[in-house]
Amino acid sequence: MKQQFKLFKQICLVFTMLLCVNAFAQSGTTTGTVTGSDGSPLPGTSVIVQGSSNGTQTDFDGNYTLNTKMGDILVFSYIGFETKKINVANFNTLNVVLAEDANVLNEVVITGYGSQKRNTLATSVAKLDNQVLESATTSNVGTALQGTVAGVQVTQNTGQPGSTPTIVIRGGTNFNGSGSPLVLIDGVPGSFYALNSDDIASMEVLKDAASTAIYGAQGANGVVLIKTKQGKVGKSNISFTTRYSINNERATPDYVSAGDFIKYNRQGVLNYTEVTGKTNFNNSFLNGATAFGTGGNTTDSPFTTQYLTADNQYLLDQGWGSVIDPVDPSKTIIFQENDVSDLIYQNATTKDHYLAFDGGNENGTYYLGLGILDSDGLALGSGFTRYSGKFSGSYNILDNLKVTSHVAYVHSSILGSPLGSDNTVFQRFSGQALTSRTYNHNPDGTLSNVLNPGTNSGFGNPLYYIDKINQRKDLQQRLTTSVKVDWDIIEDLKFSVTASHQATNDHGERFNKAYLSGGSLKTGRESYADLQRIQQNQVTGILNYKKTLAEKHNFDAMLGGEYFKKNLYAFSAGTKNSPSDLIPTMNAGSEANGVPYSFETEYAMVSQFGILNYNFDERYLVGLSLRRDGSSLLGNDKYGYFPGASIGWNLHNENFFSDSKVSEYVNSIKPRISYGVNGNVNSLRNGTNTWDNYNAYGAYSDQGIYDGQTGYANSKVPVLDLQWERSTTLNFGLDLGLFDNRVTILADYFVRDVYDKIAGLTLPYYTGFSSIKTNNGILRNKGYELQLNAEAIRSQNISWNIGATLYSIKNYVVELPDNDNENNRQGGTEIYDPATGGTKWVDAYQEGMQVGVYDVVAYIHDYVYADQAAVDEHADRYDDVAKNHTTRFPGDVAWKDLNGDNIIDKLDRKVIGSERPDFSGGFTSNLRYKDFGLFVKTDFAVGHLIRNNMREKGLAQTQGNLNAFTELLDSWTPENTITDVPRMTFTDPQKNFNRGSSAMWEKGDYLALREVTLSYDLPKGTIKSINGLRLYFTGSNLAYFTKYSGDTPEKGGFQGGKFPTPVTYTVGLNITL
Amino acid sequence: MKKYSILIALLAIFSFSACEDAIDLVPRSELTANGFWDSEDGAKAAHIGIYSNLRSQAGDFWSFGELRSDLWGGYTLETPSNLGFIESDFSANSAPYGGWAGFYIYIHRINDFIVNVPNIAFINEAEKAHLMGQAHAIRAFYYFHLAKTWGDVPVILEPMADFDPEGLSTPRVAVTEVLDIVKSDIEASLTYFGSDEDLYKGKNIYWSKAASQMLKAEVHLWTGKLYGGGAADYTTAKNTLEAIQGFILEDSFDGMFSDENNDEFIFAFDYKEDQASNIFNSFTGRGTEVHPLYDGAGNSMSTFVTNGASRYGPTEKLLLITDDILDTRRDATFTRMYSDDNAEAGYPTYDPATYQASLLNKFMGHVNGGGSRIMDNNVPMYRYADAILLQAEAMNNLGEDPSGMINLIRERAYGENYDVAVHGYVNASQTENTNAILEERMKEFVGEGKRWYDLRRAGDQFVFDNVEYISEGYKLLLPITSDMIGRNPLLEQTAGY
Repeated sequence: MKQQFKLFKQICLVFTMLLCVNAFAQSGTTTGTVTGSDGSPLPGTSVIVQGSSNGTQTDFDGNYTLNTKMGDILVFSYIGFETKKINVANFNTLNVVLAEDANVLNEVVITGYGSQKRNTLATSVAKLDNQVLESATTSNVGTALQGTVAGVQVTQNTGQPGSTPTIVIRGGTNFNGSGSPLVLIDGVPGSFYALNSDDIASMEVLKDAASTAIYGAQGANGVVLIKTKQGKVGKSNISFTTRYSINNERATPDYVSAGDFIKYNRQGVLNYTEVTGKTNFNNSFLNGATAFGTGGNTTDSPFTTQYLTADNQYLLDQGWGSVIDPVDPSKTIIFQENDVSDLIYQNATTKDHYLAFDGGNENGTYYLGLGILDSDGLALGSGFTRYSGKFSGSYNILDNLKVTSHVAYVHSSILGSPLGSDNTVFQRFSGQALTSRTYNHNPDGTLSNVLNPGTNSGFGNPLYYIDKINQRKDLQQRLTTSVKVDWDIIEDLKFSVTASHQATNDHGERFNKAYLSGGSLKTGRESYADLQRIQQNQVTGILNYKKTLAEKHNFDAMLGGEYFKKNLYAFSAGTKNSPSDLIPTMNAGSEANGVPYSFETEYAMVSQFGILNYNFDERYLVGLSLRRDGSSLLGNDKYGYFPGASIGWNLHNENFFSDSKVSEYVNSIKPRISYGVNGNVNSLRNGTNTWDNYNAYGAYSDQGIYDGQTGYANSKVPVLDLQWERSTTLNFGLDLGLFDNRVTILADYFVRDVYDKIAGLTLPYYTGFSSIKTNNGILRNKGYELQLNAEAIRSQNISWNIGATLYSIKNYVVELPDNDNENNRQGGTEIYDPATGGTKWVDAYQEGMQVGVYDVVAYIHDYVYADQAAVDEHADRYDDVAKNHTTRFPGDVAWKDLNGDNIIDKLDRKVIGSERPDFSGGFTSNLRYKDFGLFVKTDFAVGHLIRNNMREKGLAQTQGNLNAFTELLDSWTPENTITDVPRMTFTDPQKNFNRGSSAMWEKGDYLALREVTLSYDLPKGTIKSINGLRLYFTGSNLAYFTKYSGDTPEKGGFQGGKFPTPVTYTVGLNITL
Repeated sequence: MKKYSILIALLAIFSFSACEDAIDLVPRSELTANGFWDSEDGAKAAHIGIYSNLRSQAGDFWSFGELRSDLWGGYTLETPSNLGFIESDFSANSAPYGGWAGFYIYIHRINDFIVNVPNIAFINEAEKAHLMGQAHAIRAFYYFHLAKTWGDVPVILEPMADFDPEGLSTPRVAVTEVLDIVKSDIEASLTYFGSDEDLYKGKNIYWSKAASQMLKAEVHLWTGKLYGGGAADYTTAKNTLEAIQGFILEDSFDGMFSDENNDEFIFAFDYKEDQASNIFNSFTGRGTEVHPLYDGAGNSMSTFVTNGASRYGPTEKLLLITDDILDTRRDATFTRMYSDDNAEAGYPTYDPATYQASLLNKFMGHVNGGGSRIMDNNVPMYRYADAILLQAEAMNNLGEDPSGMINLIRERAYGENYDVAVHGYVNASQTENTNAILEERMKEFVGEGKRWYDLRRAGDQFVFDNVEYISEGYKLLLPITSDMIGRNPLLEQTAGY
C-alpha cells in the first residue's frame, strides 16, 4: 500500500517536471475532468494529443493534466464510451463528458476468455441490450433473450415463476433442433435458474463456431457469457432498486354455460349410442353422479346435476338453473352454476428488492449486491422465492499482481402447484364443468362452508386439495466462488489462473395430509424428502501476450489449459402412516414408503487451447483458435481437436473507401467470414441429463424389485468406439454502419454441419433396442440472422432508438448410416404421395431432406356432413379409424380421401406444417423525451402449429367431465347443420376430433407485447444527496396478438393445458446515493 | 528470472489440464458391461432381473391370453380400455402391440444370461443348473407367446452385439420353426432341471421343472392341434402332465388367491406393496361411480375403497356362465354391482335391468393402514387346476374319457354343494367334451390369461363360434405396424392383412 502511494507520488513528480519543461516551450497546460453522462468520474480515461505519443490517463477522480499546444487535438477515449476529439482552443479547463457508446459497431464484446472491440472482431457475437434487464421483474433471466438476440430461440414453456425457458441457439446441434447453450457466469459454468438479473452487467451470445471453438466440447450449442457487476474505481455508491408487481391471469377461452354443457353432453351420449349401438355409458354418465349425469344430490355429491323433483324444487328459488333433458324431454334437470375454472388461480404479486454497494480506488474495487425476490405463481400454491447475495472484490497486491474474487450465494425455492404438473394442471382443474360443487349444501338448501372434494385428487376441487396433497417445501442453496490471480509477468505478457467451485444443494420435501379421494379417506400421510447435491470445480490457466509492432501489427495471443469436474449426488427417502397431519416430516411416519435411494455420478474434462488474434491497422482482421478436449464420457477415443478461424476486413478504414462518395452514407463496413469446429458429447447422454455419464460403457441397470431383491439386466450396449461429434460452422457476416452510424446492421448467414452426430440409430425391434447411440450421419443447419439498430431521432431533448431482429433456421439431414431403407431413412410414417401416386415417408430422418421430426401429419378435415343426403354421397366409403367403419352420421367429418381409394386410412394424411416456427424475431423501441423514457419490446414467431388439447378434449369429451369452449355451441345439431364443427359424440368414437385432425391444429403465429416501460429519471442535482433516481412503470407479457385459441402460443406441438404466463404490471424505483 | 516465470506459468497451465487420468472415471452407482458377468452375484442379480422383466409383461400376457376372447367388453363405469383389441377391430394401419409388444429386449437379456452364466463358477453348481433351466424355459415362454400371437416372428438366440445398420434387417421365421425352437428350449430346460423337482428358494414365484412341464404340455397341445402334431403331441402332453409332482388342488377356490404360498400355484408373478402392483386396478372403479351402487346382496358400496378405474367389464355371457349360486367360484370371481338394493333384497342372480358393472374379486388386493387399496395378489401363470384340465384336453384329443379330470375341478368348485348327479360331468362326444372343458376353464380361469388360447387350441371353429368379432382365419394372428417394417424392411405383413 505504502509502496504504491510512493510510486504514485513519483509519477506525479515526473508530471510536474514535465509541466515545467513545457512551460518554457511556449505551450500551455490543459486540465479538466472527464465524466460519464451520469456525472460520475471516469478514471483511467486515455487522453492523447492526436498524432503524437504525448498523453496521459485520468486519475481516480477523473482529473487529468496535460501539456498541450494551441491547435492540438485531444483524443479522449474510454472503453465502452464514444471517443471524443476536442480542439485545444485555449489553456483553460477542458471538462469532457463522454457518452456511453450506443454504437453497436464499436461496443466492447466479451469473447471466449477475453474481450474485444467489435470492430476488431470477425466472428458472430451478439450482445444483449441492457435496457432489457432494467425494468421488468424477471424471475428467470433467460427470458430477457426473447426476441432481443437474433438466432436465439427462447420459448417460455410455462408460467411457473422461476422456471428456465428453453433456449436454442441457431437451431441446436441435435437432429430434432434442440440443444442447450453453455452458460458461463464470470467464466463459471452455470445456469439461468435463480440468477438475479440485477447482478448482471452484460450478457453476450457467441453464435458461430469460430467464437465458440475456444470452448471446444461445451460450445457446440452456442455460449452465453454473463458478466456480473463489479465495483468501479471512483466514488462509492449505494443503490437501491425495488419493484412491486401484480400478476394477472390471461383472458382464458370462454367456456359454455352449465346448461349448455349438460344439454350437449347428454345429447352426446345419445349420439354415442347411435354410433356404437352400445348403452354402456348410460349408467354412469347419464344417470350417475357425474358432471352431467342426474345422480347428483342436494347436499354433497361432487356435481350438482339432478332431476327436478318436488323435493328439490326449492333450489330453483336459490338461484339454481334448469334445463330440459334432451334424453327425456319430459324431465327437467336442475344444477347449480358454479364458476369453478377460476378456482385454480390465486392472487399473485411479486416483490423484488435489490441493494448494492460498490466503489473502489486504484488499489482495489468492491461490489456487494443483495436481492430478495418473492413471486407468486398464478396457479394455486405455486411460487418462487429467491434471496441472493453476491460479492466481487479485486485488489492489486503488487503492481503486477492482482487478485479478484467472486462469491455468490443464492437461496431459492421454486414451488409448482401441489395440484399437478405444469403441463396439465390447467387442463384438469381449470377445465372442470360448471356443474361442479365447490361447497357442500346444508340439508335446508343453504350453502355450507364445507369444501366438497370433487371426483378425486387428480380431478377435484382445487380449494379442497390445495392444503392437503403434495404439501411441498423446496430449497436450493447455490454457492459459487471463484478466485482469479492476474500476474503481469513482463510488459505485454500476462498470466492468470482462475479457480472456481460451485456447490448446489437442492432439498425437496413433500407431504400428504389425510384427504378424501374418490370418497375414501386416505390416511397414508406419505412424507418424502430428497436431496440433490452438485459440486463443480474448474481451474483455468491462461497466458496472454498482446503486442503492437510497427504501430500497425496488432497481436493478441493466448495459451490456456483447463480442468473441469462435476460430481452429482442424490438421496431420497419416504415414510408413511404418520398419525397426524401436524408433522410433515418423515420422523412421524411409522414405516418406510418405498425404498430409500442414493446415487452418485460424475464427469470430467481436460482441455488445452490457444487463440491468436491479429489485425493489421484495424483493417485486416484474423482470428485463430484451437482447442483440445478430453472427456470422461467417451470410451476408447476420449480426445478431440477443435480449430476455429475468422477473417474480417474493415473496408471503411481503407483510404480508397473513405475517399469515395459511398463513405458519406456508409461509415463503416466490415465483411467477415468465419469457420470453426466444435465438439459435442452431450448427446451421448439421454438429452442433456448430467446424471447419465457412463453410456459409452454399456449398462446393467436396475429392473425393479422381485421377491425382495433388486434385479439387474443389460439396458445399454457399450459403444466404446464412439467418436467426438464435430460441428463445423461456416459463417458469412456483414457489419454495416450507415448515416453517421445512426443505422447499424449486423447480418449473418451460416451453414452448420454436424459430423458424426451422436444420435440414436433407429433399430429393428427384434434387436431388443429401439435405438442405439452411434455416430449417426451428418446434420446441417442453415439460417440467417439480421440485427438492425437505428437512431431515428437524435436531438437534445428527444431521442428514439429502434431495433429489430429477424432470423430463420432450417435443419437438414445430409447423410445417415447405410441401412436397408430408401434414403437410409430412420423412423417416420407412411402417407400418400400425390406426386408419384405411390406413398412416401414423412416425420422421419431421411438423407437429403429437411429433418422431418416436427412434421405435423394430419387427416384433412374437409367439411361436416350437413344431413343424410350429404352422408349418402359417401355411402360406400370405409373409414379405418372411426369406430363405425362403414356408417357415418350427419355431423360427422367428411375426411379428404387423398388417394381416392374411398378408404380413409393412414395414407390419407398430409404434412400440414411444422411444430417449429419458420422465422422469429422481435422489435424494440426506446423513446426518450428529456427525462422521460418509453421502452417497448416485442417478439414474434411465425409458422408453428399448435394442437390445443383442452379445446379438443372439451369438444370430443374424451375425459368424461371436462367443460368445452364456446365453440361447442357452433357444433352440428339437427338445427345447426351448416357448420365446420362436428357434432358432440361422447368420447368421440368416430374420431371426428381425436385422430390427428387438421382442424385441431391451429396456427401459432404471434406477436407478443413483451414489455412496455414508462420511466422518469430525476435530473441530476435536483436533490443533492441523490446521485440518481429512476421511477418506472412496466407491463410484461401484456398481450399476444394471435389467432390461437389457448393461453400462450409460444410453443408449438401438443398443448395439454399448461400453466400460462401471467400479465404482469410492475412499479419500480431505482435510487443511487 | 522472467524466463523462469514464463516457464512456471506454462507449467502451471499444463499441469492441471494435461493429466490424462483425470478423465478415467469409475462409476460408483452404476454397473457397466465391464465385469458384470464375472461373478455369481452378477448372475443372481441378472436372474432376478429376468423375473422383474417377465412380471412387467404380465399385462401383455394377460391381454394376449384373454382380451380377444368372449370374456371382456361388457359394461364399465368409465371409458373401457382396449375396446378395439377386444373387438379385433384393427387393420394393418392400426396394428396393436407395435414392436412385438417389447418382448425382444427381454429375450436379448435372457440370451445374455444363457451365454454368460455357464462361464461363471458357482459355489453350488446345482443351483447354476437350476437357474439355466429357468432361463431356457422363460425364453421358450416368450417365443411361445410371440408364435401364438403373430405366427412367424424373428428369432434371435444370441445377445445382440453388432449393430451395423447394414444387413441388420431380418425376416420372420416360419411359425413351425419358431415352435421347434420353443420345444428345444424346453427340452434344454428340462435337461438342466434333471430330477430336481424343488422350487427355487422353495417359492412358486420362480420357474421350476413343473412349470417347464406345464409349458411343454401346452406347446404340444398347441402344435398337436394347429400344426399337425396330432396324437404324438397329445400323448407327449398327457405324459408330461402326469409327471408333474408336488402340487395339489387346494381345498378352497377363493382361499388360494389370498394365500400366495398355496400348493396349487405352480408359477405365479410376485407382487408386493412398494415393489410392484398387479394390473387389476383397472377392474375396480372410482369412488364417484362405485359408491352410489349396491352389491348383489343389497349392501351399499359406499365404503368400498377404490383404486384405479373401471376399464374392463365382463360380457353378459361370462356373467351368466359364472352365475351359479352353488359354485364357489361365482362370488370369488365377481362382485356384481347394481344401481339399487332392490328394496334391501338385493339381486341374488344377475339382473340385467339394474346391473352396472363388476369388480374382479380374485385379485382385489388389500386395503392398507393408510386407507389405500394395494393390488398385491400374486397372479398365477400356471396352477394345478390348469394341469388337470389340460390333461382332460389331451385325453379328449386322444379319444379318451376326460370326465374324471373335469369332475375333480367341479368337486372343488361346488365344495359342500357338490352333487355328482347334478354337477358331475359324464363323458360324451369329443365336441361336447371340448365344450365342457372350455366352459370349465372359462369359469376357473377368469383374469388368468387363458380363454383365448383355450379357444385357439380347441380349433378355429370354436373361436368363430364363441367370439362374435372374428369370422376369418387371418384375424387369429395380429398384423404388424408399418413402423416395424420401416425399421426392418425384410419383414412381411402377416398374411391376410
